[in-house]
Amino acid sequence: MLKESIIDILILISRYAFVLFIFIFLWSGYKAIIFEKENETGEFINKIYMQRFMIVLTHVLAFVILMMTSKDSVQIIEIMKLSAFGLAFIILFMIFTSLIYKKSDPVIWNCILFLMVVGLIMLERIDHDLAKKQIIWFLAGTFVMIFIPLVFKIVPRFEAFKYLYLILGWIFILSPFILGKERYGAYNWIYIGNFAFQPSEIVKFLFIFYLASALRAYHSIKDLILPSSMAGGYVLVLVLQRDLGGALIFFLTFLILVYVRTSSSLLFFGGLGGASLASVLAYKLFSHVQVRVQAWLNPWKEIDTKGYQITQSLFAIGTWGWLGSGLTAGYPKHIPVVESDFIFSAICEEFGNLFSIGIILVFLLIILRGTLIALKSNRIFYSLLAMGAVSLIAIQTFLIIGGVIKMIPLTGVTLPFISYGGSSVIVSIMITGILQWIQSYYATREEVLEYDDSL
Amino acid sequence: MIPYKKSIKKVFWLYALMFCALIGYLLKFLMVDSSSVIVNTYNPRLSALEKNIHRGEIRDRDGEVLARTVENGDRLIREYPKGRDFAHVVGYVQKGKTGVEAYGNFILLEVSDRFIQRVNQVFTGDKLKGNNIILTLDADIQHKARELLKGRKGAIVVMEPSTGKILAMVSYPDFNPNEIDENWAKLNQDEENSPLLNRASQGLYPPGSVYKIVTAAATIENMENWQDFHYRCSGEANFKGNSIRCYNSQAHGEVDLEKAFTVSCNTAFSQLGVDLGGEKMQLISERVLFNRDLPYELEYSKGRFALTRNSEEKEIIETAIGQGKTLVSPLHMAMITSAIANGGILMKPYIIDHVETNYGREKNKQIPQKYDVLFSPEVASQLTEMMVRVVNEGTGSQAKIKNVTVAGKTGTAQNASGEDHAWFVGFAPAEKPEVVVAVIIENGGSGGRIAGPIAKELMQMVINQ
Repeated sequence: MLKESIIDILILISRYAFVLFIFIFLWSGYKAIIFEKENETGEFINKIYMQRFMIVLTHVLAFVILMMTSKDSVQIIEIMKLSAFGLAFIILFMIFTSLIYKKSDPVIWNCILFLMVVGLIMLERIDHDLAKKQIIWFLAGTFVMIFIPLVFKIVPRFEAFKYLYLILGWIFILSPFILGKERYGAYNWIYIGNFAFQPSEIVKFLFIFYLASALRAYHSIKDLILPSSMAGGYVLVLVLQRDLGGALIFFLTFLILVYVRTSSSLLFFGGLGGASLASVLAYKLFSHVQVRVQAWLNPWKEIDTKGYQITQSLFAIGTWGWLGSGLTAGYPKHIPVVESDFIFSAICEEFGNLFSIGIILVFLLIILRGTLIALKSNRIFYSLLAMGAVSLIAIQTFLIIGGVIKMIPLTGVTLPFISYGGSSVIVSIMITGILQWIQSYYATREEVLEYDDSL
Repeated sequence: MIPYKKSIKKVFWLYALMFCALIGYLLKFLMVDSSSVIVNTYNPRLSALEKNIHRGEIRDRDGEVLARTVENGDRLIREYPKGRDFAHVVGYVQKGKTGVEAYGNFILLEVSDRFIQRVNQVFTGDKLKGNNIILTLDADIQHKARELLKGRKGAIVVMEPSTGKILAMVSYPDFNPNEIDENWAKLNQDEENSPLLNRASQGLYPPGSVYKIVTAAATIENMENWQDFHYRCSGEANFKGNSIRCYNSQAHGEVDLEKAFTVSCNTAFSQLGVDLGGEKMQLISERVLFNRDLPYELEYSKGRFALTRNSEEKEIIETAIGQGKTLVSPLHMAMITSAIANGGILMKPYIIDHVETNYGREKNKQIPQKYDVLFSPEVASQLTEMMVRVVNEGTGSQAKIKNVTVAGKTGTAQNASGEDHAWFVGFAPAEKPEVVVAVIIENGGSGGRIAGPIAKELMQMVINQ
């Protein structure tokens, strides 16, 4: 009883600590941006270190709680090991990214690292084995990302290969029809041995390369015909594979990049209008679309079937209020697929909703810094590529957070950097790699003479 | 500046807007919707909490304990000191949860000042305690109401019209919430008496003549010269082959609207129904919450009303006098009456006055809220005037109180289960209403004779308090 009370008190206090950590993290990020503008390099670096300190504190405090609440001693040692690996990863990630990506944006690195650490904590809380695997995905993603600058160095003109991206993209996106199996009602996974991955994740990567190179040479509306039909094809295939979230991400990214390139609001809103018509059609044609929409409109009506996931998510978010139940004190395992699609609800439950609002702001910080990179570039290919990368992250994050809080119908996509999953983690890290490479390219060559970074 | 960079900035602001929308929606969910969402029985969190938390008390408005948890060794036992008096409205926790126990479940299990309680626990070993709920109900009125039912099937609702506070809500047959485990099978299987049903809010009855309040309101609103309305009642009338009879076939002679209302003349009201037509009746009935959700947080049944613009005359003439397919709960009738008493405005009825933490700090005080305008002030005062006449010189004379003007309407509702249901709805004092009462006695017979005196006793009790 005594030990239980003391642990509970610690958990209660830790709720305030986590909120404090994330808001110091955000505030430091904000101050860093200000100091950067004023060219106060020393102060800028101080703030970056403050952010890193917050990442480490969050990791350490969370794992101390996870160890203390663990039942048996074998488990405690397991968690201790994982915690040490995690810490080592954090530090190595900080070192390697700044070594290999010279003059890249440390705010973005800190943000994705913070998100990955929160994801790791939540996964350890939910299922130790998943957390163990997730660290491997972190390492794999970082490893692949480290090679991006090298590849870029060897192949200097990436815009030349648009047909290669296209063909590879089609091969990947069609592969589930041959190698695929159903998973969570979708047919967008393929299995090679025991290894399952989502080809549409890799296609995302190829897709922004394709769009950036195809849209680069835009002269008239005719130049949009091929990219539009290709994007339309991807979207159609994904809808047939029942990956509605994927279909939306591809379509909206396409629309945004066309808008960036053409500055035509007519095309943008026309595209949105067309998409709305297509959605109505999809609703009429496909029963799985109807199920999603009905579960969104009134989940309470069929709470033990169609509405089960979303209502369980709302219970998790709503029960504990601003500060949450405290780590390990909630019941996130009652939410189906909490480790991937619904991980945000678990964060709301145990870290509280102030913290989860902080998480949304961390994503917004990534988007802000990514947009600045797109603005810095004076080659349209890189600007489009950077905006493509930003859009993939922004749209996917919006779709899944909006879905689990029932603002929009649920489309099963992962929360970038946080959700469990190899394909998702690796591709998210690679997308960040592209973004940082563009930043690094311009910062090291000093090609940017003047750019307007006012938003 | 290069045009595409301008577009990039616009795209950023689009994303910023989308993310602010996420935060805004989350805030709205947390501050507005979440409290009613999380009490759902499908939320596994509450039953998990229950094992370790000393559930809070439920008390009446004077602090009398209606439900409390006591520790018996390692077990926590829920006690109901007032026994059967509050069986339905406070509810129980042993076999699922009902009443306030269900609606307030989260509040009762929510630990305020958790930090202090935990520190205290280190030294004393006390269990964590949930919040207490203080109701608007009054144990004395509640007890009196239950006594007045005298073991007859029926229900009573007592409300304060100016605030929406519910002062008493009883239903019979009832049960002893302290012995629910032992008697569960019997209670659950008793379909004839259905003792677990809260008749006050869940029971649906034909309203009979109390529905004439709505028909009268429709007349005043829709007929410009309603004061010139005249009808000759011969105790029975024929509408295209369908006959309507007054109570005991009594001929009321020459009546206008007020007179017809006072003596509860069926034939005149059927004629009014025909003159108004189905559509107008539907419009006003839905405005007074038939076929709609009621502003009430505990279990209830929606009132039902079947007329539309296409309804046949047979249905209209029956509906206009509260028969036909119309069904209503005593609580719903109390709401309509309460709106009349309050100048046409329905205050949102409520039963939880405030929450008190384990250390006596008051929080979440419910402030009376306007729910909707059911009648215009003019119509409300016309109806009040007519309802006063019902008590002074009409069917409701048994509800008369010395030195207090009482407004009321009786109902004697025909039904399939035998003897007529006896209804009375009313309020007092008519000039400045303090209390609304709705009474139904199943198969009780005449509303004026059976239900009227019960309402009188309760109104008197509240006014004298």
